Amino acid sequence: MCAAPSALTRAGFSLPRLARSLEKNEATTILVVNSATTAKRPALAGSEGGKTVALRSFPSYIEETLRARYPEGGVVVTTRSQPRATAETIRDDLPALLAEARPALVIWQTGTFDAILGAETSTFSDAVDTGIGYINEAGADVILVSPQYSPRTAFAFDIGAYTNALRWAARLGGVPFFDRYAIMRFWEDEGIFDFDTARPSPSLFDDVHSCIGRLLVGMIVDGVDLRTLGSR
Amino acid sequence: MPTPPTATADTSPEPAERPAPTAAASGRDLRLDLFRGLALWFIFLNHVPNNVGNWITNRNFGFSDATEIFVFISGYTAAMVYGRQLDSSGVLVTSARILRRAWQLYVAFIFLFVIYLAEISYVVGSFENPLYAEEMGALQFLAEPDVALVQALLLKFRPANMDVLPLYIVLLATFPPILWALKRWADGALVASFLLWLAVQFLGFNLPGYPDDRTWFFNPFAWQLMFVFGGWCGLGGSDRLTGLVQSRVVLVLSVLYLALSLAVVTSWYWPPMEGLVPPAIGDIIYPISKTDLSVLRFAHFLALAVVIVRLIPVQAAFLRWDVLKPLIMCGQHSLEVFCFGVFLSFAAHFVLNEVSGSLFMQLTMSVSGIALMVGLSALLSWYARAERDRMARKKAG
Repeated sequence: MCAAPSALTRAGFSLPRLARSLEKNEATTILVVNSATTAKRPALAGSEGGKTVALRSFPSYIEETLRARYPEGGVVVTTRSQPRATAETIRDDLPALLAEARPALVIWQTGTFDAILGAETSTFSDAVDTGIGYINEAGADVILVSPQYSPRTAFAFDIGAYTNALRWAARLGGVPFFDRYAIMRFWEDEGIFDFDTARPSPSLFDDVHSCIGRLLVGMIVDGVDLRTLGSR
Repeated sequence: MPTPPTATADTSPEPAERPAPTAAASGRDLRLDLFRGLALWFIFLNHVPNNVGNWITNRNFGFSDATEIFVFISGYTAAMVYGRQLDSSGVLVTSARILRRAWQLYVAFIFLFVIYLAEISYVVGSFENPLYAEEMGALQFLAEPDVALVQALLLKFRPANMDVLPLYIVLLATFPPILWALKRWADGALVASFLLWLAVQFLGFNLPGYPDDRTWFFNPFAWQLMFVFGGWCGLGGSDRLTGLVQSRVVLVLSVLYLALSLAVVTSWYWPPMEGLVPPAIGDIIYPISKTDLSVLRFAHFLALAVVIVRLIPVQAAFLRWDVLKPLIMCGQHSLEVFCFGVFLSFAAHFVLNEVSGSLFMQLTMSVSGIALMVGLSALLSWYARAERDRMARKKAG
């Protein structure tokens, strides 16, 4: 179910800082910075008479899988969700976030709110470039994650330019890029998931997030192994 | 297929921006209408999201896209038509006519905006999918009518796909003094326009937008160069460029540049070509700003124009072939067809999501959208002809 073309799931660049931390068997923190609004959903809970389903988003799947893979040191995933935050806002918050969490890897999802606002793409790329610099200076690796594929809202804002900007920022910064947009697009085209139906299956959210979590772990492991191969 | 206009058609009761096809017999450059029509089709195809139809459009083959063609030809025809009126009816009347046209565009923009808001409200209200909680939350905020409507009236809030229209409104509303200047000191006006564009490249100023620190997607201070250059050509500048355009060196350079940009663009978007162009080139030239009309885009348009002018001479017989009539007709009614195209792209998106997004449906939507655009332009041509006949009878009687 979670299949995706290898061109989209390869790391391409190594994750040396994370690899070092895992090698030393020390406690390793992975910080997920994203703009999801799903962590708490009081509005929906209220409208459905308090009936909430606990939704697991992709960071929790990452923690589970990585802990199984590297049991010695202990991997902790902390999530920082900032809905309605542009890349510029996050860039300004990053130094404080990094000082607090001291991560070995930052998984940075951005671009959705920038696209909705129609922020200038050059401003967006600059913010991401600077952000990657901050993270590397703080001794952590980065994986950039693009916005998700959202066919229903595609008429209102165009994600494409921001995904391209992220791809370039990743290439220039020498960091892996997880193109969530392209992967979800692939799933839609292959008929694996249906993203634009008016009545989505109840498990859609969990399925998609567990797949994204799994593929991201694949990319993380790939990036860690690349470093090991290189150092031999 | 709808009936094409005859050679003696279309003098609408109000001064339209398009010259009457009567001029066609007397040397009207059909290439302008042809390529403006083509640009309108491409803009429609590009605006239907997740549509395989937009793979044929020119943005996938080089740095520039249909917007450059549209703005250039609009400047060209506006200068040509209103320039002639300036001679016959004077500055005041011509300026009033231009402003009237800008007003029509503004009304069209507001009309399309209301449809856009309706679609957003519908999607937000009908679509409950926790996967898209973030997107929906943000759209809700865009759909707040108290802010969105006021900002739209001020041309500050321009939803995606409608960006060209506010640009066109501003370019046309400021056109009277520019036209006057172009008539008096054509080269001086062009140089001034170029300097303004150059200043934008270095200083990066733009008009403010909504929300927050958003600015105009098409920076009018940069894009005016395309419009004014079009106007300069329309007032005789293109004749003076003939020597340059016909030179073999320029042609070779243009073809080389087009080939290079084709290689670069395909290597970015088409995985099998990846690695063909050294990343260093991309690092230097990226991003190619669409907002500020990057010099690479402008040069790409010029190269394209040189090659097209060489390939298709103005008297080319095939320009009068029936197969091309639909394109030419669309180009002759650019405002109406453009607005209708934006409306159709909303409708196509709606159908692709509500009914089916299959490949077959994408092609059907693309083809039927274009057919409807052609149908509208045929209707407008027919109406203009009927009005003209009525006026003629009135005069005779």
